Amino acid sequence: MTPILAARDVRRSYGAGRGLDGVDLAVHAGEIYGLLGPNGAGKTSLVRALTGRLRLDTGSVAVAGRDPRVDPAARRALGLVPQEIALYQELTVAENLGLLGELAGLSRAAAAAAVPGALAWIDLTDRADSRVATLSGGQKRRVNLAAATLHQPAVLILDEPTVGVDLPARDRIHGLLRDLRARGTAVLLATHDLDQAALLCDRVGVMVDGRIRAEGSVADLVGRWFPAGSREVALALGSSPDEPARAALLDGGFVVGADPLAWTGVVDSVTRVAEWLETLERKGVVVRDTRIREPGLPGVFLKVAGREFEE
Amino acid sequence: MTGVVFRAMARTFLRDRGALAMSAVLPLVVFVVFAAIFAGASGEQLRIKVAVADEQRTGPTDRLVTALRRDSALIVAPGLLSAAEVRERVRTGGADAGLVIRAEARPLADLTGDGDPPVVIVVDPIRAVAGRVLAGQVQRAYFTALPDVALRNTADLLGEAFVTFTDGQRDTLTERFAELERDLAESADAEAAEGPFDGLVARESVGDPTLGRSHVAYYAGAVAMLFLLFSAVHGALSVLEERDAGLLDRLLAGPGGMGAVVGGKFLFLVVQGVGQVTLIFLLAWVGWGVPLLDRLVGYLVVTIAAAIAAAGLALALTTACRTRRQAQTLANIAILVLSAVGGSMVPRFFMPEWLQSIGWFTPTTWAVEAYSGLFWRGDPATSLLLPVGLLLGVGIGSLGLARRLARRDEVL
Repeated sequence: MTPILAARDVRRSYGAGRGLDGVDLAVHAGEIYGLLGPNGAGKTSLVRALTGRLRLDTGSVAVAGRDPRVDPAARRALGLVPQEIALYQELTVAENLGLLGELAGLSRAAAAAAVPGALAWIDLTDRADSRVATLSGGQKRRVNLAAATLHQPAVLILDEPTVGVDLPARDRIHGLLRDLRARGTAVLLATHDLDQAALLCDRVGVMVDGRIRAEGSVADLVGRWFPAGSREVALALGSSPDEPARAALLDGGFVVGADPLAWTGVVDSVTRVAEWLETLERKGVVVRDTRIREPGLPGVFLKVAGREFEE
Repeated sequence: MTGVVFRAMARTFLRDRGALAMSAVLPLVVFVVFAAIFAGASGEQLRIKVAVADEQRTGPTDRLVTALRRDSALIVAPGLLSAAEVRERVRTGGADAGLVIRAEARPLADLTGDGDPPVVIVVDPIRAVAGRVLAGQVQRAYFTALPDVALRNTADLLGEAFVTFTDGQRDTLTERFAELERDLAESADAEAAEGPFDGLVARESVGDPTLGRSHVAYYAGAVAMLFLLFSAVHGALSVLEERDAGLLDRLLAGPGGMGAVVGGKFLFLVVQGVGQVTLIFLLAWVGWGVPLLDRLVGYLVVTIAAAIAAAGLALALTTACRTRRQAQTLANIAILVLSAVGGSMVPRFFMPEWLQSIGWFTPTTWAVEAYSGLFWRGDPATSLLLPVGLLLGVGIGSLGLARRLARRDEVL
């Protein structure tokens, strides 16, 4: 199947190891693709590249088979939901939708005709004439989303669409994104919210240092990195480990994040946890707290990046 | 796309009370203040407040004071004051100048006698001009309202210094002076009385009588240009606000580019500017008779050119800056310097020659000179070509620069 959104060997260097370092990406119609990665991983640069707004050192991008850097038709097939509330705060909800629909390429009449449907879709018909500045955070997020979909783009790119909203508001956004998927829209969701990705995405790509290091459905990725029945073990140490203790942790496959007392590792079955702890204690590791959990995206990220996922 | 950006700007502007006040109300308020000040300062309207003390209280001094009270150039405080009160009023600004006819001096009717001059003009050095004007009006009143006294003094001076009058001649002079004094007293209106010195001075105005009061016409243009620049910058800053709000990312992901964004904003700023300047000139027309309708075509040409220059410059300045704060600071400095040098704050004709020359490097001066040419000096239409050409050149050149600079945001 031909992807509707594609990047091939996209490279762009900003110097000092930052930028995009050979990204390949393919998103298909009717799919939600989660682009995961901590801040600075290159998500925003990749989004810019996909919207045709980044000069590339090498590689190519395509939206519906066309290059968005040179072809306005490619950009007409694209909707972007920026991380910020990218709306005219002093204008009403309906005015925003109409004007932004036109700016996305609709005629004035077509934009006006599409507004009532969009308002109903985001359940804000009764706030059509309210100024955006007067809406709640969750309502603004919904308008932010609707403004990018009025022209029914084949591809919708969202950059952290639920930052700063509560859980019910986030769930509503998720519902809207599932609607879009059902309509056949290809959705690229750049986020560092791993829970969101796990709940929503058909496939995810884990981006680290400008590259997509692992890609697949959440279940595939977990299965690939974690044998069936295995568990993640998170240790909180009582004191900083000395050299032998540290060596024992590293030998056991544990990794440490920003907090020198927090280590995470994987055991192949729950029954082996006690055995592990005993071994570590013998080597002088002081464990204050132990948590055992099903492996998920945080664990995958840990395996892929070799470090804890940090926002 | 350009039209959509224009409409988004226009609607936002109409909802933004601060921007509305800044563009529509504030310029009118500032213009009214300047017009009120400078309408009073133009020649026909200059009236000096005078406090008077008459310590001699003789017939001639009464007539002099009465003549001064009737002088349309002066506003003489009612009643007679003491010399100390006159000095106090001048010192505290209650009067622009004071006049004391001293008791311990020569009588007004006998200037050839001993003693000091009878009339003393009291002035504060910061209002020295008022003193000179009052001195001139006193001399005028002396010769026009008291010609008998003036002639008598002249005759006394002649008799003392040049010729010796016989008793008969002296009697005739006394008789004639008495007749003249009677004639003057009988005249109901001393202003209408024709004394022998009335033929000395006549008045003549230069310039087109249909033109507005000079300083008001000047300030209409000067205030218009000042606020054109402020409002244009205020509107152009939306480029940076929209970038910070992610709106630019959204727009640029669509089919239009930065060219459409800058073009739409430029168009809006020009329309906004023409509307704003027109409000000021309408007020100048209604309130002060600046002949807007007589020179409507010239007015529109100059105003559109000035609005294009302000819009282009504002967009070039904001697109050259990376942050709103940076743009705001730079704009404030630029506008204040351009307006001060260009003549929006203090009229150019008050400036020394070298400063007026520097002014010719500012668009403010081009606009102010074009408006002055239209509504004040009544210059021929061809004289507008240079300032209008310069304004258009700078405006369109700046727009080109702004579009170029804005492309930095288009592809990163």
